Amino acid sequence: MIKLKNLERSYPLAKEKFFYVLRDINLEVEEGDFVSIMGPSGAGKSTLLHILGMHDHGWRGEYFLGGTAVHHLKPKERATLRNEQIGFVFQQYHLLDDLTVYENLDIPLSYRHYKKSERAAMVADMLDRFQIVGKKDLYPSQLSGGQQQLVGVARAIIAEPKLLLADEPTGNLHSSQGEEIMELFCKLNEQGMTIVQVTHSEKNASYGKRVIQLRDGWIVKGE
Amino acid sequence: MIRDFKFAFRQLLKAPAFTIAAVTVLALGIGVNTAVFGLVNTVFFAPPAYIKPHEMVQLFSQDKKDTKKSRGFSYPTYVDIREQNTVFSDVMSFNLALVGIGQKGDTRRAFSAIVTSNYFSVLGVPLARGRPFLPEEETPGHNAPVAIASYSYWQKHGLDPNILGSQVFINGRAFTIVGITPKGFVGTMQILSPEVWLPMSVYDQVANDFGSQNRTTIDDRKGTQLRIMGRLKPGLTAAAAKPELAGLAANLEKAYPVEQKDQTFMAERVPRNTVSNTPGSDTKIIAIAPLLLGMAVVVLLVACLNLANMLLARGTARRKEIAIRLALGCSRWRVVRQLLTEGFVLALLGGMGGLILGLWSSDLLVGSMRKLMPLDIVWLAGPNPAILAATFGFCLLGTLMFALGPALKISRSTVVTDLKEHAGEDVVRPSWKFLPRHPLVVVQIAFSLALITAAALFIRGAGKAASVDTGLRPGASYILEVDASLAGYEPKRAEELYRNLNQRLAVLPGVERASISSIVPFGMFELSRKVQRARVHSALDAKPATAAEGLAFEAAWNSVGADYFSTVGLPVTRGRTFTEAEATQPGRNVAIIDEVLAKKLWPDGDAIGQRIQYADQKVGTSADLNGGEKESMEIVGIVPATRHALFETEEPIGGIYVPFARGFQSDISYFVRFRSLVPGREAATADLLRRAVRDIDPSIPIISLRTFAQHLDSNLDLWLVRAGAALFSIFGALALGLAVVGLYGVKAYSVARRTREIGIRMALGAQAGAVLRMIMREGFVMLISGVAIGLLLAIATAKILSGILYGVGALDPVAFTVAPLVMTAAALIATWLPARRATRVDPVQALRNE
Repeated sequence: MIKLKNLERSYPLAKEKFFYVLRDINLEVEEGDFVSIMGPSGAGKSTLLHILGMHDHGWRGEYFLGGTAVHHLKPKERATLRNEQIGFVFQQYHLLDDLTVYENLDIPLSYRHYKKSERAAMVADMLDRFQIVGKKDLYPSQLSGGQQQLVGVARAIIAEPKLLLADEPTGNLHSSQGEEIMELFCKLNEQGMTIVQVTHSEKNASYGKRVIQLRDGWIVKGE
Repeated sequence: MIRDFKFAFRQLLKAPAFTIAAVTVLALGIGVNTAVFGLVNTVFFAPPAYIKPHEMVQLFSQDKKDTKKSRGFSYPTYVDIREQNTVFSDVMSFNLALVGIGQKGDTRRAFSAIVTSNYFSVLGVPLARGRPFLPEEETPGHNAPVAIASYSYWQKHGLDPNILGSQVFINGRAFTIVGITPKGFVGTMQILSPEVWLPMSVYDQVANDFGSQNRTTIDDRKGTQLRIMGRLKPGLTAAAAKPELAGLAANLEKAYPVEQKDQTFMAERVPRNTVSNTPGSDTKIIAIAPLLLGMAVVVLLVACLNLANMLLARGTARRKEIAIRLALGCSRWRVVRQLLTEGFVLALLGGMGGLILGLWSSDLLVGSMRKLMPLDIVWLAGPNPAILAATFGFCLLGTLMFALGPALKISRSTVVTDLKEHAGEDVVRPSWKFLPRHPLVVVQIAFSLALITAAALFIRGAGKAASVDTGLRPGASYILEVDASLAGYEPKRAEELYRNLNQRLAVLPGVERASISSIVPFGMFELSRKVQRARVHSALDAKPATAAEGLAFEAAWNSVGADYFSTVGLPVTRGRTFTEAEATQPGRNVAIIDEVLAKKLWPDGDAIGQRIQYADQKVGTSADLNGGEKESMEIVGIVPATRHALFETEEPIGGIYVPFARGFQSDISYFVRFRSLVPGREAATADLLRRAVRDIDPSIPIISLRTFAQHLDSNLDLWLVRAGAALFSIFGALALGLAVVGLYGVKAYSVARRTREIGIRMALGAQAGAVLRMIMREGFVMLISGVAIGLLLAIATAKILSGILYGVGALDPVAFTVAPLVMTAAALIATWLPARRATRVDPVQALRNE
């Protein structure tokens, strides 16, 4: 599903000097895989995830997603591909504060040009699936952290992406809430969704099928 | 409290960009108000230049049978009133006259007041130097050549310590200056002041000869030249004095049944800005005051709304600081006080800027008026206690308007939430969801649109006024105004001089034609006479209903030379023009009338060859004394109707032209029509005309010399319309600028604060277009709401303004289209700039910053 070849990400420093966040990344992720990216702070985990999620465009190398050469795509084409294929879960949930749960779920669909009636059906289905129908009119600040992340995951998968990227999805949750989210990921993976998560937790990583270790921008294990 | 001020200054210094922006916005808002208040206060509210103004009244002589008719008083009637009345401590009398001050070529036009000797004592004004007039200097026939000069006249002469006893030439005659009025004294009006005061005994020598056919001498009881003002006895009101005054009028009517027939007296407060025989003459002017103040306050309101938005935005950023203060035990009132102190410091800084701006702009306005008026405009520049107090008041008002709301809102902090709040915008709760996100901006847009629409209406009016068709086609003409009486010429000699000068001007190189005219259309003065069919004998009290029965019509009057019509491009459509002999020698009594008057006098017949007469020829004029028959004139020509006033709103009144020899005036103008005026040769052409006058007599003062276009440009009505347009344009531009800056500021700030949200949206799939549309849509909702409310306000404003608009309807479609378009275009640009910035948000960066 994902193939990275010699991918590099750097930031310019002084005269013609660069700070490398990611170096010579070569990685393949099969469809239906559940990969955990681990490593110390500053290793480049989140950067790699944002490159996979096509939020970051300043990299060099080759990136194939489902056979499409992302590195050859124009920004608009990348955005379209991302909207079709990828869902993203954030550590800080990043729900929109002035939108209700229902509206937060509706947002990604509205950016994917679904009709209003289709969107309503999909949101209703998702609320039902995640058992949060009773919370649909609440605002994020009225939810617990676990509930917020549940909405975050629901929002990430509502447009039925093939690939779910999660950046420390349990980082702000206590253990039982974290377990709940990880079990949800497993379930989604079982249903065929490819998942790549960034985590510091060995326990969370154990929910996945494989672990990739990053250090100082290099893949040191699991390539 | 001192700590609050210290902290406020520190806060403002910490954010210099915010402080400069806020002070500028406030300075503009307060500046406009200071300027308008200064003007309105001086003209409409400030105490007059004389003491105890509540005791002063003007006496009016009113026709008992037709109360709309009022007239002035004769000098003998004034003396009777002064001696016989029981309600006044004292009364004085005066009239204004246009005089030439200076000698020979240096003569300039100025207003004088011809006054009784007690003028200054009744007003309670001691002179700065010298003495008031003596009783004997008032007596008609005494002809005392003494004058009291204004302070500004003295200033123009470098405050010469030897001014008393020096001479001033008035109408070519030397007058000795015996006194100087105190600084700021303007007579009975506000800011408009005569330059010299002359004693009543010189009235016949100095007063203008407009309508000289009816002129009476000052000692003639039939005269109506004078205004009377008096100081009521202590405790007496004008209303209480009414029966006594009516009794006095009845006594005088009994004693002088012809001269005082049907006259009654009434006292009313002294008009502040006019000198008139009709009571309530300045009420229309006073109505402008609340309008001007209202518009200025709207600008301040827009500025305050703008600033309130800035403070609210700043408050959101300071939410954490406030939460910490509250968490540390600070009371809410203490927080409000701190925030209000910061607002007040801002307002004071803005007020200082506004004061400078306001004083500077009102001086500018007065300066532009001075160029047009022969009256001296006494304007005490610099701050006075009223202006300082008003500016301070505007600062306080401003603080309450822009700082109180945000202070109350920001201080309503929920400590726990705010301590961990995202640095985003306020969360919008469901009940507010369908309202625009920033209501203050909506209100700003609404008020601004109302002001822009008002400006557009005035600009349209000014445009129409500037392109008014005068009906005249004078081509490349100069207007040369001279007054031989100012050089001591008697009418007979002056007539001869004018004839010679006319001949000389007509043969100058490049000149096509030249003609004398006593009245220049659209100038400062107009004359009108009542005209009726000749030899119509109706009973004294008869009220004729038709021209045939003797109905008289008001007509604009002018006395002109033989070539006048061809010079000003007015074709004689029927009959003929005056002959040279008719124009220069008092022979056959002929007249030319315009089509409007012809139609009124002979609706179904031909006016040519018919005879007309003045209906308002006063009792006792030469014509009446010689057999009671009014002099009649034969109509020899008919010309097209022209405008008589530049901004005629009613139906044209008609016009009558008589030969100059039959309507001599000493202050006359020549239309000098050149074949062409070469651009860049204006100075040489003017010099040519000046030399022609000098060649005839170097002592003749040239009062003005300008092209016809320049003459129209200096029209007072046109100035008023243009000043209105300029004033409202300034209001409108300021409000538009403030609203656009406000909208831009709010949107820019909003985008900056919503970086996280925009980042999330982009991470969730929003493309640049979607983000742009989202920000633009929010701006558009504000704009549409503002424009909708603004249009309602604009309609209300236009209805209020309709009375003072020229040539445009209150709901003028052009103004009501252009103004919203301008507002919309400016607002869309102000929204688009931050929206475009929003599309450039890097989601990775935005989310990482969290």
